[in-house]
Amino acid sequence: MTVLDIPTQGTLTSRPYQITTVRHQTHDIVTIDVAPQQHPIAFRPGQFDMVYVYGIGEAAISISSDPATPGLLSHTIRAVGWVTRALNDLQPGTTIGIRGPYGRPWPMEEAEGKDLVIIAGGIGLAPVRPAIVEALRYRERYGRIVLLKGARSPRDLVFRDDLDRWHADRGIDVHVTVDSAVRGWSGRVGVVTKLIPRVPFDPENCVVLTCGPEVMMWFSAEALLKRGVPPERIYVTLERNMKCGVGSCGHCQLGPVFLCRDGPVFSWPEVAGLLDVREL
Amino acid sequence: MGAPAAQPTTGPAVLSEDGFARLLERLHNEGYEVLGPTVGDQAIVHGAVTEVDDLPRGWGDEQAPGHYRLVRRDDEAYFGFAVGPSSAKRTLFPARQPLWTAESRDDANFEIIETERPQRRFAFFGLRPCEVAAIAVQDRVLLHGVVPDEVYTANRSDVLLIAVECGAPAATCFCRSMGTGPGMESGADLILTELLDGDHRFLVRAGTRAGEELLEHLEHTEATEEDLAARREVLASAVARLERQLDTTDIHGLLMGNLDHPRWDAIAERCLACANCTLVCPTCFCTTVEDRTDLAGTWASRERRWDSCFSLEFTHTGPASVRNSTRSRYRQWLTHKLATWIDQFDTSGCVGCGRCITWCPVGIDLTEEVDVIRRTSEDKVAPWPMVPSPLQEG
Amino acid sequence: MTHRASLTAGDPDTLRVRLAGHPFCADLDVSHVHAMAEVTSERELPTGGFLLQRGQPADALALLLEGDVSLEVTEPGDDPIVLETLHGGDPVGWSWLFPPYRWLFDARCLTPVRLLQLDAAHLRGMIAADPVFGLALTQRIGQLVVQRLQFTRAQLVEMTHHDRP
Repeated sequence: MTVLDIPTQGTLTSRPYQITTVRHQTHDIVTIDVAPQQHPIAFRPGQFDMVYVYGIGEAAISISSDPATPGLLSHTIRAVGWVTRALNDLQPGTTIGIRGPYGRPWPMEEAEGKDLVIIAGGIGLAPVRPAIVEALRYRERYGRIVLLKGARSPRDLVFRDDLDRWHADRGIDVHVTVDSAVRGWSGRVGVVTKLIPRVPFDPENCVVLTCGPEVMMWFSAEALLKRGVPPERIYVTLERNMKCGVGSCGHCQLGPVFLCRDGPVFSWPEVAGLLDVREL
Repeated sequence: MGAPAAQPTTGPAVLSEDGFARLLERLHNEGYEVLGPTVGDQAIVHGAVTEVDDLPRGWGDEQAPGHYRLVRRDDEAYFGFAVGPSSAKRTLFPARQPLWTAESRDDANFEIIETERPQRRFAFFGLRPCEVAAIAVQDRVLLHGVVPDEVYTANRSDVLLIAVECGAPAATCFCRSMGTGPGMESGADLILTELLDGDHRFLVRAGTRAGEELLEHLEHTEATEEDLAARREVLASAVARLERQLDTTDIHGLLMGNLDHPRWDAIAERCLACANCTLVCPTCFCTTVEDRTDLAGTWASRERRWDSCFSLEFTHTGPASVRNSTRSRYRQWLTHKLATWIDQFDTSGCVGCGRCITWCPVGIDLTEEVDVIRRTSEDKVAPWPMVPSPLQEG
Repeated sequence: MTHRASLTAGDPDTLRVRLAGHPFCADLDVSHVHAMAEVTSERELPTGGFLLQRGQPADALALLLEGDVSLEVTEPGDDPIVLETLHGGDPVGWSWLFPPYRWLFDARCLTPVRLLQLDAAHLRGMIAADPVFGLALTQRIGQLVVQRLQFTRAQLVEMTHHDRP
């Protein structure tokens, strides 16, 4: 496992940050912004922070904001457990604790000169959003930029403003699909992996970033391999119970790797076999 | 470490019983908190040692899978036992570690107060070679990881290691298989060998300059050929008493190639998932955190405590746990200890101390389990790097 | 896909080219494509038009050239439940191959749709008459069914999956 030279703050102690904005993305997903003027957190796309709610606890949350503006830091959170539910209920002006950034980022440099294909399911758009924003900022560095976005239903779509903006942007080719349509939805219905064989990109000269439920990434990888994408060009980001962020608490271990320390971003050959072992 | 001046230059020496007592005195005088083997809770446990009488003189231990008893020896050996359930981990990486506290300023805001970590000097007295090896393993994990652990680093910063070679391995020990004992050549500041033939005395070798300085301040004699021969005899008889072995040949490939071996199911039928093995293991380092507040919410704290991969909660992710079965949790523990630890820290996580065998309430013996898997292995390949996808092959 | 606008929709050459260019026919034997072209016609349907309707005889295999189609079922008094959308390049319908040769779902055009329509009775006759062609075509339909089933299972997994923060 290559340990990259990436920004990582070692401390186990959070810093307090005051929430500036709370944006409700769906019925159970919010984006919380903080403005860390005093202690900006420089991060790379794909990295995460440990976010603390006073008295309740910490959760690992991907950073979803623009890496070029560390003075505005966003975390997008789905209410699943105690901490994330508490985070969903917070109001602007409340202080949260943040430590980070942690983890191995997306391989933005490797994608230069190649087509950049991004496959996101559900809230999986949050960890790839910084990658999309950065790629569009340095548009000339990449070939085609393609976003395949899947959601359970139209009401589960996050970052709608971004999706609308990117739809209008000629620099990125956006395809959105939902598993289950509702009244008024006129777009595609079906799994996001269905798009993989048809969407225009060069399978032999691309880097693929996938983020979503593990099964979705697995199906995506299979479809990408079938299309001829080399396995080492497929990247996934994995999720386990992260507690410390630095590979010392043991919770997020998957076989030989600690997801927080060696990931959360992995190339497909690094983890493909591990994902097939039940309860590993 | 590393500078030539730090290397010891003196040869093996001999301390009389009196000199040995002076060594302990000296450590106290230099401001060390001295921790060593004591008798407590009907076992040998690490405790404060202020004088030689605190040591378990004349006590031995009887260990077997799921079995531990203190026994009276027929001699006056200070170190006539193998290892007890506790280890240096309890001091260097305590079971409960306050991380920080916070105080609320109003309903929405709070302030974090960092926990001060007082500088302490620890001298570990009478560590077995396997225990010194265990500290070295924890050093790799917690001191030389991507990010040094602040609690461990603080506790480890001023530590003296006084080791005693093992002349009394238990039936559960397999240090020789792991290359950690019963003798040792380096890794501690002072390496003692208790010699019970003739005059009760200690052969002493300095492993570092700090150890050498200690020795210089103690009345000692140069070791004779007889003393050295007596040491060899102690080690030879210890080796002869080691009953268990763990064949580590390609153990990584063996275990990771057998993640679906039926033996895991057989172990799961006996394993209680009680976590005893992880608590007595001198290298297990997994932790969790506990957040607390007072009822009014004016005060909050965050504390880290030992956790175990045997608990269901350990892998709780989103709505459920990843490792639901006991089978998967035992497999995680054993494959981590003996195989993936090597991927992560370039060393085995096992030092062969046998604690996990002794303190397992149902007597599961990892050496036996690995042996069964080895004898019935189907030579499968570990699940990474990726085996070619069937789709790729068309 | 090649468009030869100068040729009329019923021109056998155009149909052969369009059929050969459709992903469903990729790598099919040329003689088989030509044989299929004999029973193929090109159709256009407006938005809202039905490509197939539940309960109706399954009398054709449709290969979409352009446009979006919704495969759906209706519950009286409710919006249709969309199982999936199909698009240019997708085949539609396999009930024509198996008794009782009736459609089980509706396929409704979400946009104007252009498609190739292959007559089912003729296809069944050709399958019965020529085992080599029969194997090639049924294998293709088999692959299609498997792929759709896999997509549907993945869809099911995603819909029941609690994805994580």
